Amino acid sequence: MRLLALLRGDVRFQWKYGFYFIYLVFTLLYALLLFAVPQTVRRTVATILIFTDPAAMGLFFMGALVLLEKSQRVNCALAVSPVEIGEYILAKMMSLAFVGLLVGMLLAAMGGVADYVSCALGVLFASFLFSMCGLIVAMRVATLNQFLIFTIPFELFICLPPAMLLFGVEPALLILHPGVAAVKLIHGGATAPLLCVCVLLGWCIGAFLLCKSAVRRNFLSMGGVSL
Amino acid sequence: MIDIRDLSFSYTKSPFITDVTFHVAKGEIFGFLGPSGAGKSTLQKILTGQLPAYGGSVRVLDAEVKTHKRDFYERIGVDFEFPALYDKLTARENLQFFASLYSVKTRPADALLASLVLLPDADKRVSDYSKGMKSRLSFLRALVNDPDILFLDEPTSGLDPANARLMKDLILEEKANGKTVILTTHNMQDAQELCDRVAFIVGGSVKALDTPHALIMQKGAGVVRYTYMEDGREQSGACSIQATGADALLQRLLKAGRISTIHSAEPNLGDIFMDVTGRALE
Repeated sequence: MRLLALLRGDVRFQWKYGFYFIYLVFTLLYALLLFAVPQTVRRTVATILIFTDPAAMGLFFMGALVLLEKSQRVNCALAVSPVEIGEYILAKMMSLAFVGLLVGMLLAAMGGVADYVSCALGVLFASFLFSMCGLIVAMRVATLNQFLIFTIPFELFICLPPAMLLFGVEPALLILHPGVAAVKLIHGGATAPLLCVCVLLGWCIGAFLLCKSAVRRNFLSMGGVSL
Repeated sequence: MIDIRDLSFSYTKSPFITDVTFHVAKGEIFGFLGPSGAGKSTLQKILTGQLPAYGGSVRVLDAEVKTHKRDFYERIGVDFEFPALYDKLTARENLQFFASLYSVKTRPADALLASLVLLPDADKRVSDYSKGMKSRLSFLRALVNDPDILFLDEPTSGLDPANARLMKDLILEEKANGKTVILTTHNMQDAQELCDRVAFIVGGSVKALDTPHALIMQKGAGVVRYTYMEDGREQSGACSIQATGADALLQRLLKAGRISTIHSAEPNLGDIFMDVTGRALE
């Protein structure tokens, strides 16, 4: 129940700050772009758009969310409430994944992505992973500029290997990379979808543990001490 | 309710809180009184489980604080010195959201808002609130779960006298309902008026601990000051309350009916604090 309350709170927070309006505008722009590109590359373009935006929105929006909370000292109030750290993280992940999934599936339908279940799984896992990376960074920084700088390594790590796929470079072990596994699921027709899901699940569990540690440190720092 | 023994804590290698021992009973308003940087807020944060790396023993609600579970927070309420609220939500939405995080029975938002005269502005966004209104709402946030222990950090800071009065009355009402209140302040009037006992905190240790009245009285009783006319000019005199019978001038003036004004003046907690610690409160 508390998770649901937090989720509702996060969705309302994002709504009030116009996150959904921004995404409506972006979705319209992406839709126009998809209809503008030739049919032959539409699916690939849709995959790139879905992976780099709706799925990756957590990385950027998490910074805004957490820094806004910090500026209003809401995280101080949450730190002395019964909210579990896991619940706090899950609510944020799920609220961003919800919008990401909605926009991602719209683009998937417009882009001619064939396997909706595979695509939805790819978007969800990628969204979770990006959101947790965003949360880890956001917990440690004080300004949006710092956030943008410190997220660059995460962006490069997650986005560069999948870019290699565009050029036909695909070593066998690359499937173990979370970005590659997510792109394969989003695009559909992956040779080993179950392996992709397992890879992403593994990465998400690892990221969740790191995230819990980052949030715990942040909650304790409300007490004025760095541990 | 709260039992602290040999508490020590440090932010760095040098000790910050040292050898603090005291007990707070259920239904008591206990004040941490001291200047900025004395360690009052650190003590409060240790009690609320936000600084678990302490030495000694700190038991709150019959459990050691450093090993508490999150449900510990179901039974306490914490009001920070600065408001901790969602700016874009209304006052009512804020209270309803925070109430939704508890599994214990919570207090209705409207009744809370009415208690500090915020009900007419319940649907106003917090970003449109004045500083004093935000402080009052933040205080109410700490009450949503009807806590057994209430931790308040400078609750009347930034409030006008009328709203400070409202806030203090509400704190006394909580006490009357059996709640324990830990008040962190450098405002000696608040401490003197509200607290059953106060601890003077300076340099991370307790320099004195007693009821405000006992602290004031242990440093000697009050003084009687009087004025009278002599040679066409107003003169003044003073003696301790115990010595009024032995003050020859006062006796002579009283018999002659020449006293213009006379009143007793007791030292306040601020004076006693200065006396005990050698430091001013503000």
